[in-house]
Amino acid sequence: MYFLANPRRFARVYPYLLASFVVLTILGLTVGLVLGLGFSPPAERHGEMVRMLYIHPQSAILGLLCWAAMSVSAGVGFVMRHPLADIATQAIALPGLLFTFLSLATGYIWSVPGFGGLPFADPMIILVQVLLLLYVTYFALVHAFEDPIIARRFAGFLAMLGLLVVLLVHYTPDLFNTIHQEKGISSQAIQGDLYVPFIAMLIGFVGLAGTSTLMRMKILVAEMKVRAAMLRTTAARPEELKI
Amino acid sequence: MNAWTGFDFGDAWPYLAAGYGLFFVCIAIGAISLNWQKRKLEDKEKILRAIKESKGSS
Repeated sequence: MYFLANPRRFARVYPYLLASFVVLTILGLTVGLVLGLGFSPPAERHGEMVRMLYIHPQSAILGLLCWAAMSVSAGVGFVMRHPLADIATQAIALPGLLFTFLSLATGYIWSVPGFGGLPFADPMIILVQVLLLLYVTYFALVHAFEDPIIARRFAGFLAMLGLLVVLLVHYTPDLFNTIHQEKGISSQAIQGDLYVPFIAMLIGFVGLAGTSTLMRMKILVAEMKVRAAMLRTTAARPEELKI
Repeated sequence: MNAWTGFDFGDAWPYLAAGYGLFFVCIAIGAISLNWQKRKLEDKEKILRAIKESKGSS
């Protein structure tokens, strides 16, 4: 983390990091989709619908992980006053929002044939809906101020507070009665033939999140540099600059 | 068996199509937003260049 905190060092490491995430994405998604859709057998309870297992839990895990990563980098940005950490927080937000939305949508789709309806009252679903709302609020906050540095700082507070929701979602199966299983993603929890495509898709999803975050970070760092140059050139105050 | 040629998902296919379709839609949204951000940055760089040039010529 400290190593990457220097923008110049980040620019040096960026191509290698991006290439590794792209490779992870391509390998993970290819293996996961081919094995998952083509070769994995139908499960005892869910039949063919078990193929939702290759997108629903992964998107939920990444939705939670992205917010956890946002909380950590917002915390680092708050303590160290480092703009790159705040930029990382903002860069992680969009993949996190999309993964959380995907987890809710695929969960609803899975629940229609599996449970005969949408279990809106399930505590985990309610908490993930709250998390989706937090992501939307983060975006609203980060675009609410003229000065992006102040905006990121304010939105960072929300990112740190939202960690409570992530922890609650994580411990929901232990605390409440929910349709989600308690065993997590261990090989004991998932039937043997389904485990390899499951893990491959998880790797692919991690790769997707990493690729998207890194590319967004690069653009945001460039934007920060352009803005600084603009302030120097026009001698305007940060709140006066409209771009 | 549902390998290669089969892809026989029975009654589950509309749900699976919707789920996996949404997955690809989300990837497309991510890519489009990234492209949009990139274009916005290019516009800002153009404005900065224009300001610098006008300052240099005056």
